[in-house]
Parts: sequence; structure tokens; C-alpha cells
Amino acid sequence: MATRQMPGDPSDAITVVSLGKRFDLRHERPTTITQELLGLLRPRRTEPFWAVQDVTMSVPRGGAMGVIGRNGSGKSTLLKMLAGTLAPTTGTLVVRGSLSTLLQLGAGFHPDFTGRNNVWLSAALLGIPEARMRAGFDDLVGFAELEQFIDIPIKYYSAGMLARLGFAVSISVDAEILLIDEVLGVGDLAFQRKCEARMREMMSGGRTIVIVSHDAHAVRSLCDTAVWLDRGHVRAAGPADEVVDAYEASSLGEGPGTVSRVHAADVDGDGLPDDPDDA
Amino acid sequence: MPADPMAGDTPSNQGRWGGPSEPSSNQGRLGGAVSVFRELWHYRDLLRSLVSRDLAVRYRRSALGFVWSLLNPLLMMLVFTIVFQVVKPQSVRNYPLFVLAGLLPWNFLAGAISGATRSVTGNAHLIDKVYFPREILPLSVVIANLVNFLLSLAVFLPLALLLGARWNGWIFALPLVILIEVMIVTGISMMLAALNVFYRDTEQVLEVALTAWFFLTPVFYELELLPNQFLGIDVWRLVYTLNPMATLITDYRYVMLYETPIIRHTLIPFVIGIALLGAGWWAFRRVAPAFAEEV
Repeated sequence: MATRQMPGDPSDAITVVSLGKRFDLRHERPTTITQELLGLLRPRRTEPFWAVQDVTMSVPRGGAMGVIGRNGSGKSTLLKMLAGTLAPTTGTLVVRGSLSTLLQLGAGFHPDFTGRNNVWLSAALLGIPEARMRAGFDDLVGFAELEQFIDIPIKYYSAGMLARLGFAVSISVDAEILLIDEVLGVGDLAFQRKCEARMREMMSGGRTIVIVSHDAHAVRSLCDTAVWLDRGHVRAAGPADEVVDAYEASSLGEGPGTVSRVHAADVDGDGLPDDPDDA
Repeated sequence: MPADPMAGDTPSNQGRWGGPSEPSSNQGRLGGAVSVFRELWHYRDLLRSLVSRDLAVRYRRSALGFVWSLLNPLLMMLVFTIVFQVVKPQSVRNYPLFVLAGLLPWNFLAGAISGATRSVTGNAHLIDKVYFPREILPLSVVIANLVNFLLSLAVFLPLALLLGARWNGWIFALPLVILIEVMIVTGISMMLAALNVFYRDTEQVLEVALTAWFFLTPVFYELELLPNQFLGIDVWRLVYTLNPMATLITDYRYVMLYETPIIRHTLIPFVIGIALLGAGWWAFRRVAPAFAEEV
């Protein structure tokens, strides 16, 4: 419940105490019209599903934390609660400082508008002040390598051009805490390098960063700590290298390097077809 | 530390939750209202961007652009004039102006409400990803429609003067009449935008409801046309009392065309407007935290 006294160390940028998120899944079975009408009178039957349960963690100011885990492990749910778009069901969450989300590639982009218009709209969405945007606009377009195309509607852009523009807008955010959801690894190799360099620059500027990814490489190279989520629970937490090693060992069966390909139906490497609940 | 001076005053309820209740719930009512406006002020750039996006989308790929927001009521006026002057003559003097003075405010109401109702569901991809005060979505639609309405008034008013409308000091009451309509429109818009997230039936019902409301509002007829005795009910008085738009449209005509003081009943829409705005905003805020998982 609401606590006036904020939990956690005040030097932490983010404190999370036994956070949980429950979704009530509605089952929509095909029914006859009569059943459908009767159903209107009864409350809809729902099944509780805990996407995140009892997660406790903290990120020190200036730290970089990675959140890893398989699809459906609750990474994005956790990030959305940090971002403030989802309300937690249980637990407490304290964010100290201004916070911004690096948008997944160009959310908010409108196909009929030019690149320029879209940059302005996305910037407003991310809360970037106009004055700052005006000053940094040319740099941003230069970074995205889109000088020639910035004034044509983005529906004519290639996927790569869109991705570059989305990333370029995202990194113009100047908040104290940045949440990053799978936005790394866009564009070609040269652009990826540029992105990583830019991320490092932002981190050395004292910002707190939380990266959610299933790309173990990105977490290892950018983060100092990591949390491994498994079916909504924290399975391991600690130094990024160790957690990523454990995660890779678990996903690949015998550990990194020894198994290069895993049969899709046997990801947990026990020789038996996987329990569908694992996915 | 960020160089950005704005970064420090980011709204406090961003990502700060204490359990399932909404973050501002432990503040006083007044403190809550103040923080709402402070938060909206912080996001004014977004509001402005969305309003201009809305206006730009509306006239994209149409050769006549803004002209349509005037041409459309003009054509409607033509239709009503033909129907009601030729088919069933009415006693109203200068009927075309009479109709237009009712159609412009009505179009503002109908356009804003139906647009705002879809505003949250139509921007699901944004709600899911970023935190911003959700009010901004319906508000931007209302404001875009208001801008459009004001622009059309700016063309209509000189035209009315030219065609024989007469003004006196009561023309200065026009902003008040507009303000009351804005409160009513905003309140209803917020309510329906939130309701539509949980029940998409809203936008279906809305179409019928707006049509019914249109006919119960004296847009193309004089209210005096309604019977004052029908099954023992004074329909005339009933509509004036229950339908704030009936009073407002009459007010618009009085001040813009007939040098007449706004009618005494105006207090009723004013009170309804404040009540709707308060209730709509309160209801919207209350359910907004659940939007991200429902859209």
C-alpha cells in the first residue's frame, strides 16, 4: 500500500520492493448467441496471471542495469511499470529523478507526415523541450544519416531508415533515468556501433540506465549489473557478466560455446520436448 | 547531471506508484487539481503537436483544405434551406443565416465528441509505450475542433454582417457562450473517451445518440416549433431545461444575428457545463491508470 516514507536507499535512482503485476486473462470461448446473452448478466470469468511477481531490486544512481529473460518472462511488464504506463498490482516502486523511455522504433510516427514533422511529434511525446530540439535537430538528422530524406513522408522510408530515425529521436532525450526496450541493434553494423558509442557517452554523463533485452551481448557490454527474470520471478541478480553467463548456460543447455544450435522444441536441453508452459 | 532545465521538474507521478491506488490519491482534492494542471503545462508541447497533427491530418490530400470546414456547413445550409423554405416554408427571417448560426456550433460539438471518443483507443500504441497525461489525447481533439470552429466563425461573422445580421453590445457575450459549450464538450469527451476503452459499444451508440440529440436541438428549426402540450408535457420547456445545447444554440443566434440578450436559461447550461467538466475529468483520471492494459 501507499507509503509516505519512501523505501530504499535515497542514493538509488530506482527502488523496487516486492513488485507484482497481475493480469486477469479473459477466456473467450466460442459460444452460442443464447450463451452470449446470458453471459452479459454474469461477470466474465477471468483467470489471474502473474506476469511479474515479488520482484525486488534497486539501481544506484549512475548505474546501468540489464534485465534479461526469455520471451514472456515479464521483462516488458516490469519496464512498463517503471515507465509509469502500467500500474503495479502489489509492491512499491520509487523512481528518483526524471525518467524517459527510449521508444521502440518510432512509436508515434505517422506515415503521411514528413520525417521532420514526425521528429517533432515524437520529441513532444518524449517530453523533449522544444528549444533543445531546435538546437539539436541538425545533429539528430545527421546522426540518422537522413539529411536528404527528412522532408519526405516517412511512408516512403525503408525499414532501416525508419529505425535510424526512431533511434536518433530516442537518444535526444535528456532525462536522468533512461529505460531502453530492445532498441539496440537497429540498422547496419556501422550504425549499431554508432548507437553503442552514443549509449556509452550518455552513461558516462551520469545517467541511470535500465536495458531490457534478450540480447545477452548488449547487456554484457553495456551494463554493470543484471537481473534475470524467469516466469515473472527474479531467478538471478548481480554483476552483469555472471548473470548473463548463468542465463546463457541455462538457455543453451551446457553453457556458452558448447552448444551452438538448439532444436527449437527442446530449448531447455533436457532431451525431451519442452513443456509448452515454458515458452 | 542533465543540462536540460526541464528535466528536474518532470511530473511526480511518473513511474512512482504506491500500490494499486492512483499516485495522487493521498493529496487533497484541490492539491490534485493543481497538480493536474501543472502536469498538463509540462506537456504543453505534446498537446500543441497533437493539435496541429489533428488539423493537418484533417485537410491532408484535399485540394480545398480548410475551406471545407466552411464549405461543408454552407452546403448543409443549402440543403436545409431548400427543404424548409421550398418544401415547408417557415416564418424565420433570413433562414440561411439562421441555420448556419446553429450548424457551426453543432458541428464543433459533434466533431469533437466523436473524435475524442476514439482518441484513446486510436492511440493504443502510444499509451502502451510512454507515460504522458492521458487527458492530452481527448483534449487535443477538442482543441483542434475548437480551432476549426473559431476559424469558421471568423469567416461567418463578417458574412453575417454583410447579409443583414445586426449586433449590439451583446456580441461580447459570444466568448461566454463558446466557453460554456467548450466545458460541455470537454466533459462529455473525457467521459466517452474513457468509457470507449472498456466498452467499444460506446462509439456505436454515440452515432445514434448524436443524431437524436441533433434533432432535439433547434439547429434547423425554431424551438418554438415544438409543442408546449404533448401528452400533458410541456416539451418546449423540457427541452430547454434538459438540453443545454438548445439554450446555447439560441444564445449563439441571439448575440450573432439579432442584437438580443442571451436568454435567462443560460445559467442552466453553465451549471451543467461545470458539472460535466468536473465529472468527466474526475472519471477519466480515475480509470486512466488502467488504459495501458485495456487498449
